[in-house]
Amino acid sequence: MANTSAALEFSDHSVSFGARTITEGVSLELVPGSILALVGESGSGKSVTALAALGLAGSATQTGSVRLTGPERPTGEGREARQGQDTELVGLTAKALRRVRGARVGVVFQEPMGAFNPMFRLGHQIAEAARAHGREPAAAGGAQTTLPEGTPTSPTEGAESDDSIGERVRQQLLKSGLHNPDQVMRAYPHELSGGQLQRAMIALATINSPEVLFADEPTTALDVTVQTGILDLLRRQAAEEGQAVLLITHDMGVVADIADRVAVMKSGRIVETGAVRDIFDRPKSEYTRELLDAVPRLNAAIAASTAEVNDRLGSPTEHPYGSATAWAESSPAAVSAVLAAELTAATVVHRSSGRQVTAMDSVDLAIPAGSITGLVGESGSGKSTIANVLTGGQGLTSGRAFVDGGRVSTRPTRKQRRLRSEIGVVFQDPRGSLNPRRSVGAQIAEPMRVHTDRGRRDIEAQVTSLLDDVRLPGDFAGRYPHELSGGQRQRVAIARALALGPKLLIADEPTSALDVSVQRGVLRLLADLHEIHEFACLFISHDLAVVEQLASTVVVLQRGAIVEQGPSSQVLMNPSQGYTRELIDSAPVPDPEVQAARRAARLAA
Amino acid sequence: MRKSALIASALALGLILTGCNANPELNKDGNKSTNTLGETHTGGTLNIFAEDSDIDFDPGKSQGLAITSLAYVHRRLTTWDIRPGQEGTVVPDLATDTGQISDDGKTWTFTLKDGLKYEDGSAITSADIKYGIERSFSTELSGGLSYHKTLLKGGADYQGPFKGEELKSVETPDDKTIVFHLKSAFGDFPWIASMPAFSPVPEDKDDPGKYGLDPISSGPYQVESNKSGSEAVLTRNKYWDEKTDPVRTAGPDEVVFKLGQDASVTAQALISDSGDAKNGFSASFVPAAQLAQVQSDPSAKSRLVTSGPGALSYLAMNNERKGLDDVKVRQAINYAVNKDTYRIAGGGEISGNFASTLITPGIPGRQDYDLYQADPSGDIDKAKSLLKESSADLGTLKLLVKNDATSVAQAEAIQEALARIDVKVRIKSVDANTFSADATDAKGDYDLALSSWQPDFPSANGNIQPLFDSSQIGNGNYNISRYSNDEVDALIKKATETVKPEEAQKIWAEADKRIMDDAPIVPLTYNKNSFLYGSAVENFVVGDFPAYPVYFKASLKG
Amino acid sequence: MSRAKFVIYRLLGALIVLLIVAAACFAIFYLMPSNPAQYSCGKPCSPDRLAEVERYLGVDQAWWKQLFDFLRGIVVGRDFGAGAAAIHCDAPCFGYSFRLRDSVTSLILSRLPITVSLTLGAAVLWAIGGIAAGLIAALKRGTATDNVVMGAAITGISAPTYLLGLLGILLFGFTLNVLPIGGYVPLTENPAMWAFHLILPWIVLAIANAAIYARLTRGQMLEVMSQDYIRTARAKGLSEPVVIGKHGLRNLVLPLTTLFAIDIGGLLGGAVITEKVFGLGGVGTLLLEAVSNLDIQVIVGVTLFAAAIVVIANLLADLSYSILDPRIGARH
Repeated sequence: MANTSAALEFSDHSVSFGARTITEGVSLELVPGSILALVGESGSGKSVTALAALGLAGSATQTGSVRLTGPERPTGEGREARQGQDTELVGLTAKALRRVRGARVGVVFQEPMGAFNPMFRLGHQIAEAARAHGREPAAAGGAQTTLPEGTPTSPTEGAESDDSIGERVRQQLLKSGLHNPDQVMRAYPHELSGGQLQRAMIALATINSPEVLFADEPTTALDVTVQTGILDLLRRQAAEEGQAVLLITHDMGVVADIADRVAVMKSGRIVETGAVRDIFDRPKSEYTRELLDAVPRLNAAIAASTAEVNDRLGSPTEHPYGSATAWAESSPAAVSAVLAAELTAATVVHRSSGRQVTAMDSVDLAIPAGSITGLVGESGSGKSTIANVLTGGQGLTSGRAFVDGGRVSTRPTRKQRRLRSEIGVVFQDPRGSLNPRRSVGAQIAEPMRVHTDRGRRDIEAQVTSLLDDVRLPGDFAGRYPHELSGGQRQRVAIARALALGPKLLIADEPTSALDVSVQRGVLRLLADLHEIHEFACLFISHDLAVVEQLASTVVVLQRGAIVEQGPSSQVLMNPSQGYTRELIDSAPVPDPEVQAARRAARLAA
Repeated sequence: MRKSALIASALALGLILTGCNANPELNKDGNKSTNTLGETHTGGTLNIFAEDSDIDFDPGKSQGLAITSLAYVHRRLTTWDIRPGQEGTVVPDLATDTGQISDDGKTWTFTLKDGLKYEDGSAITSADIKYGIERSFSTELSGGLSYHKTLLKGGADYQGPFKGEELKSVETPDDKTIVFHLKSAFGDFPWIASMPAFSPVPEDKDDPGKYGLDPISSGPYQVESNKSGSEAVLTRNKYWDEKTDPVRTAGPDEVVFKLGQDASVTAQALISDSGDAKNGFSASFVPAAQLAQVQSDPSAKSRLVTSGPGALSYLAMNNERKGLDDVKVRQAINYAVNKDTYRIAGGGEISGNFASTLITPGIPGRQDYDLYQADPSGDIDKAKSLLKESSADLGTLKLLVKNDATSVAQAEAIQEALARIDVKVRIKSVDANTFSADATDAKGDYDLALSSWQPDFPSANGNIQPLFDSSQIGNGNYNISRYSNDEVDALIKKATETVKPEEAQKIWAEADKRIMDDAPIVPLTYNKNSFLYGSAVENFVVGDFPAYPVYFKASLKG
Repeated sequence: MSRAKFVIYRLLGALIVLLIVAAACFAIFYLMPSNPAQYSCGKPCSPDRLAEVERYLGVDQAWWKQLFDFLRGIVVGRDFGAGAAAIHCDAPCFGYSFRLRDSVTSLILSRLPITVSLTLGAAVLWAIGGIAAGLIAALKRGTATDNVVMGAAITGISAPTYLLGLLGILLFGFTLNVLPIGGYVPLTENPAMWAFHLILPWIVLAIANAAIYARLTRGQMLEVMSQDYIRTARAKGLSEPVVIGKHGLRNLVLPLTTLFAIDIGGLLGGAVITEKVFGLGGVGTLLLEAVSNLDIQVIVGVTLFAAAIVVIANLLADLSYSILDPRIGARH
């Protein structure tokens, strides 16, 4: 940290929408060359704080101050910056704020796919940012005269030529780690991967060498292996370009990896600010401690004992489920020879316009009755395809699939209907999988009405009992999904999945849309339900720590094929494949020291 | 007269637009002041607004009256002299007289005037008239007025000249003379000779596929252009000689048919007297909404011509149906019907006069009488007692009607009136095409039907024969009361064959009453038609018969 | 699937659709009680003549036989009647109107300029007016302007064209007397008069459609403006006109183009009511009069023509997707 004077300073900053106050009295200092992580659960006001300061939060009203050090940047090349005058962003005119955005403060958003306009080539979209703040000739009036509206996209007098902007974009893309910049510039967003797009987004955000960079959950939508690269890039922006980075995230692993300082936000207020190690080692606030405790940790990746994990995860009075080893020993079903589901040499090939895409490549998989099998791998590795095959939604190109001993096919026969009723499914986003127009009770009852001929009263009793199982009060039956929180919705989804007492529960990333504290509760619930109902479970997740906690067996998928499978402790502690190792190493753990060591190792390599 | 549903909705909308008084007062002082003939000025362009998108000038296919569109282009052997306030007469056109009749009444001879020429200067010969009649028999050119086809000897089997046959019963001993041999005596033949098929067509110029677009003109105008969906332009035929023509005045230099014009819009334009409308008139009746509007617009009112009572609107009773086959029942219905509410539904007093006879006003020899005298609103007591005398079980009567708004309203008036004598009526409203199909097919699946009839030529024959001769039941013909009475058939035959007009007229009047004794229909109203013309138009007249303007007398003010 | 293959598949599908349409036309008219021959038989009409005319028109045949003759006419042409009065209709023969004495093809071609002039002119008006109104409403969302524009749009959608037409004629034609109330002057004859005569019909036809476009534009624009990439564009420091005009509008082009193609396709088959009110003898009037005269060949011909135009418009709309949307373009 070469420079200790703040590049951007929030002091007593509050944001409200109408009468609703979102954040209150937020004070933050963004120091050049340093990364400040703003952490907190969803809805705590992290993003709003940053976006409102730039006038990107719609009709938000702000009080307090957001001070950008240094005067408005001169737009003429070689002009002297006037010293001593800071820019106050709160209350700045829209025009002046526009000159700040993209020029002095760059922003990187969460979803790179959505953040680029699908209709324009990337090179064009990045060049736009350069042109919007194109250097005007050093004419009189310079800094105070604004660019005429609408001109930025057309190269008018004095603006940079297309060629020189193109070259700047090229260089910027190269710097962002995209080694084929020409190809990227010509590409439309849909033609690139999420990682490439996020690098391009960083190139876009930094093309005008801003003093400050906002990164709003920049890696949340990316696979862990890709995430590492993006984080390294952000780190470099701070270290090499001297930018002051505000990293907004909910992932404590990411924080541990790259943040210098951390500000913890809860319900619109900063509860604690400090250096990263202090926050992790000596959290002062109760909330920070809770937050850290709730984070699932991959034992195999941390040099920490299993006992410590057990301590962290559950109070002793509750069922200990945190450790795979402990769980495996306690569950007799895990050794059962009866299979809840089985795939033999299962292959799925999609053909489109002459091209073949192998979504599943002769997968052999056995899910013993009563066991939990974790399925891990990057997006596109075929995790969901396996789930689709088992539920009869996707036919096999070759090989066979069985559920509860019956062969699965996509034919709409009575037998397939019966097999289908032996499977319960929980999806990632309960908002999408629940019908907003039907009551919770009706949705839990639906499988029973469709697959059984039980009476109405009987079904109602069963709905109440299921709600009780997922620890929701019985009167929830009359509520509608929008009245529920994310965690409650997911519990409803689980209750619905269990309505028919399935032999197999497929949980497809059931907690990745939830905050860590909520996630913890849902995971515990799943473990408990598994204990009571003794279903087999195929648990799909990208989060190795979660899988490790829950599953007795882990299957690692890459490009549709199984690269490694075995007991979780063995696979995750002592992987035999490089790919598994890579997955484990990529997942940032919430420990700054471990992450620092890893980073050092990575940079050395 | 077919009206599409669209026009009906136009009427309804027009009513809303003008906030009209649904039952306008009749212009008591009459429109006679404007319905007069005066001096004809020459020059200018006369516009005629027509609803149809196309105008076919082929005489073989035409059902047009002798005084409308085709008369501009085609002269016939005879034509009509129609003047306001006078009975129409048949007068010689190409011929020197209205025909010489043989003693047996079966042979008619016509002689052409001297110096008659087509638009290309060539002479009009009697052979051309014979050819014009022959071609009207061909299937390719069917669709026109066809009275002559059954009258001429051998006509029933003749297929037209295109198959190389000639019609032997029409002879042309020389270029000026033409002789017709009829199957039986027919006193009204001079009227038949005024029909479109009796126009000359030079055989070497004929192309049956295209002739109607641009025929060889014998009248005062020739077709300059004829654009489907747009307009047809007529210009002067320099070879037409005014001296040989007793009726056509040929005032305008040019006549333009504006085609495909919405009747409501046209009426509105004529009321405003703007643009092209100033120099024109509408070929369509003024729709009810605009008719109401005219009453409060002095300028428009002075340019409105309402005909005398014309076409007969009637309620046909299917004489073949159980219950209705009882004359007592039919007479009861004659008493029960409320002609007042019926007429209000049709637009009120201006839409027509109450009817009681079958022969319509304006037809020579008509005798006024009323066998079922009652108030216009009916005589319920008489109706009920007649119904009691009959023991017929009527059930629910099915009333067939067209589905335009006016017809349905009229049907409802009938329904309400009959409810007063506990006769239940179910209205079946169908589109115009289906109506004519259902009313004229062999089955006759209806009890009552609302219809109207205007004769194609001003003779009682045209009133009675098509509606009441037993040969006209089904097969697309118009005896839709399905009335069959040998005695009446014989009377019709006798009147038809009577050559002396005065004598024939007496027999027709007798037939009229004889039929109404049996009460096969309920005569409702004699309809009046109203027409509007622009302020620059003069000599726009409507005679007692037919209730249509005399196109060829209209001219433009100098 | 390659684009060419896609087009071929779609055209084959379209042929089947058109075949079904033709069959339906003949079947419906065969089952109807009305006899088309009645209209061509004359007055009075004897049963013998009626049978003769039925034979001549071909309506004495079963509907499938009529369909077959019609289809054969398309391939090899047709002859109607015999002897000196015979009429030959060259292949491809899409029917012949005995009433109008012209081939259906030439009837449609003669009426088409009117319908095309009417439709395209109105389309330009409603596209500009509707999209502009929708944009204004979207950008002023929730304000009085938004309410006024959308209120007008709902009125526009619900106002019957016939009523609008009559009101327009009353106001501009008669009361103000500034515009002609109809009539058609060919473009080739006098372009200024062509436009002058069509202004009122264009406006009337455009109003209802403009309202639909305003609603669609507003809805789409609101959705687009809530997308992440709009936020990105703002975060770049682009000015608001560029954000809206470029990043916003570009994403509206696709749904609007699709709707536009289909609407124009639909109207080219005949803008019946507008044509009727303004006395424009276009394809719609041709069909309307054919129906009231039971001119079955014209009915089938025009219906097929209209159906073909709609099918082609749909195809073009689909193709425009692959051209206008880079995401789809790459897949083909």
